[in-house]
Amino acid sequence: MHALQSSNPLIVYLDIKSPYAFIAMEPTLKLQSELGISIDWRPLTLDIPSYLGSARKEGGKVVESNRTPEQWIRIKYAYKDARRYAERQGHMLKGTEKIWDSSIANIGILWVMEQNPGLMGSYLRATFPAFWRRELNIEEVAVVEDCLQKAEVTITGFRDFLQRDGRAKHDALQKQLHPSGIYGVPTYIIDREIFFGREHLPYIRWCLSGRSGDAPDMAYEV
Amino acid sequence: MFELYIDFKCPASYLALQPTVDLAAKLDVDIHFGAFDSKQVAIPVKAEKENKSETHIRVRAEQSRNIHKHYAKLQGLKMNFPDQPGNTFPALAVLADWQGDPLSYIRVTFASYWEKGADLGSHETVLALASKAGRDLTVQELENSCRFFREKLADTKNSPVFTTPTYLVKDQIFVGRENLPWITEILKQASNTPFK
Repeated sequence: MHALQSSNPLIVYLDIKSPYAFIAMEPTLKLQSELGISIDWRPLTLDIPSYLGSARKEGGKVVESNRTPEQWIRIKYAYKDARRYAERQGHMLKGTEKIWDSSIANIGILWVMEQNPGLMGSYLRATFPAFWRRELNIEEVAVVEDCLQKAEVTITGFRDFLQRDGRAKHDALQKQLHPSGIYGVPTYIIDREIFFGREHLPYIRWCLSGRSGDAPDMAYEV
Repeated sequence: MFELYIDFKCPASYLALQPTVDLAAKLDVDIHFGAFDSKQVAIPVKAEKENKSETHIRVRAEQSRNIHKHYAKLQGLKMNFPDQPGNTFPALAVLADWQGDPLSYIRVTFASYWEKGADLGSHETVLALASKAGRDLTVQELENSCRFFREKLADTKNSPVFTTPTYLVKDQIFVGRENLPWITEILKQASNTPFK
């Protein structure tokens, strides 16, 4: 798997623990449905402490943190912003209490791609909203299996995939990302061009629809 | 009316200008332009040995510049990125103290920085740009503006503005022109006049 190449016209990188990936889910599925295209969905498991510092909350209070005041201001705005857009989509978005290891749920994305990519929307809808309501412990395999089953994706072989091929594919892909210019989610790849953020969906739609008329500026679709 | 806080050295501010001006014209609302001395950093040079954090910061900065260039091309704007972001404090001080519509000053100042690499930290340059936009300032007036702006920034520690471009619309804060569709909705709801 090459980080920038696919037989599908669009690659989308997601991480279940990213609020911005969460609120990109519905607009991206809408784009897929409108254009009738196949998307190559892929995981990008963020290493948040490496660029945003880390913190741990208990009972809504920060009990550990190595973040700068500037990082806190940006993080607080990012959550507030993501929350209001999530609410527009009819979703609840609660700030996380810790930085999660989302690799199991993200390897679930690779599993769905192998089993039945047509069920990706169902898997993402079974996972993202419940996680952001703080109802899912995505570090437990059984919880991710439950999401797969809710999406009607078989779980036979998932544990083996998680231990072997899936983990190996996931880890190999992560190593390619920075050298390829990919660093966050959601990231969209079209014709090897990299677009970070759902604000590029109007431009991506324009590209995939034949590039007629003026190219649109970036915008969050509401 | 809504507020837009900009910084001349901020590429996203430059790219936000025309779409925002177009929106304001379409909705027949005024923009109050605010100045904010944002933190812009140079793109780090790839080191032989980088840790994960350093790589992330470099890759993010490189991609961010690529995206700005991509949309600048679509807007027909030239953007020459300096190796180091320039000092824009005096130019922002003039904007903060501008009487009347500052749009022509904003346009010439942005263009001079991004197209010609003008030094907006130079009082001489800033005085020339202000003059070009129709406001002749003395050196003393510019220094007063700088002092006023410094005090204003110190006073805005509790302000919601922490970066640029920032939109203050009714009781909401939005960072980035990608929020213009929602801003449009708010402005439309706030107005009872039919839209053009």
